[in-house]
Amino acid sequence: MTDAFDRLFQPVMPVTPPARFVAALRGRVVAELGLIASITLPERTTPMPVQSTDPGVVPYLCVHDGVGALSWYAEAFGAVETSRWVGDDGRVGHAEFNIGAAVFYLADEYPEMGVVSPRTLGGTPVALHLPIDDVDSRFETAVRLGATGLRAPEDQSHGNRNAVLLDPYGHRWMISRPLGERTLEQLQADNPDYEITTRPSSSSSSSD
Amino acid sequence: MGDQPDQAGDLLALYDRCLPEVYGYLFARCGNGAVAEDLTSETFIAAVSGVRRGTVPQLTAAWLIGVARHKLVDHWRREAADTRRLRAVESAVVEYVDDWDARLDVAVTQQVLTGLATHHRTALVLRYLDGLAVPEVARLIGRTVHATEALLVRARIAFRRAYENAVSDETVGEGESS
Repeated sequence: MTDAFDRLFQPVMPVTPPARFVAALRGRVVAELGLIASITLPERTTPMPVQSTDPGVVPYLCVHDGVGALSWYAEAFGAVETSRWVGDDGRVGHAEFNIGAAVFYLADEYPEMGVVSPRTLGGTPVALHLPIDDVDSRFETAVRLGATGLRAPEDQSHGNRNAVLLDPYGHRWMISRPLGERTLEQLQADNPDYEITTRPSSSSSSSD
Repeated sequence: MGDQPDQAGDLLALYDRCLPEVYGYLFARCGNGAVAEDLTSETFIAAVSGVRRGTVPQLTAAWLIGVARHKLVDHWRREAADTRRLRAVESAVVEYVDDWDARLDVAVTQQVLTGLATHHRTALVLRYLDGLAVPEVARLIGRTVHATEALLVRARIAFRRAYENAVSDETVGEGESS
């Protein structure tokens, strides 16, 4: 005997949830499984760009709003964007920019890969030291554009004029300009609370 | 216990493969994206705990759907408690509606189910949309088989009444015995 109710049977029909939900829940599952270390990451859908020159270490910033951060760094620090890879979910998967001679990479959050921003972490343990000529005006501009000034520009006993700020994406920057050549004796005299040792840096140009 | 790392990897692979099935199952039954997202999250987080405790017999899509079904029933139980519409005992069986042979429209069905009292909706979804046997439905909602049968009768009556109202409201000209 069949009746109308028997026709209500509904086999499971797959429906793909919104991309932001898929990524966020995947990140949570990975984290709760404690898989970060042992997980095999899914293959990148976009190839990593080939770097033609060796800039040394490149800070790879993760931010909670990639597009917003790229325009902020351009406006506040005069960053020149050289590359941007936007995924089909709208996230910035990879971007590159220069500030002066310094190279930076940047991406949105990929919690499913363990890539999270200072906002998610609730802080940052790393300061980005940026040599810059016009410390005072840069600081002023950055704060006007929404950065938090942590320390106003000031001449420091270590021979630099510098300032510290937290940008709107949670990264801490120390912008700095040397005040001039100082001998070790001068530095030591100006910093009696520290015992200062120096040694020649082993640069990449040394042959051994 | 020893194969727990494997199960962890398997669960992540299952997530990548079966998330749309879990979400699709829940979405079709609760008809609300936000609720479906919450219940999907609860389902996978429960699966993670199961894997970590080593209590998952076999990680399959069917097992996940079973977990999702529990989460759905829990959700409706909370909803019923909130609206105080859940009655502890279903008494007095009224007229038994048999041989209702209408061709039910899927969209109207969904709309009617959403409008039903939560305990009626729960019973009908488990029994008919999921196709579970009455004893299984009884186990999921924590009632005796007898009480579940009585609940189903009342739920069918409520559904038919609401469905026929909805159809006549829309002045759909299709006859019941076509």
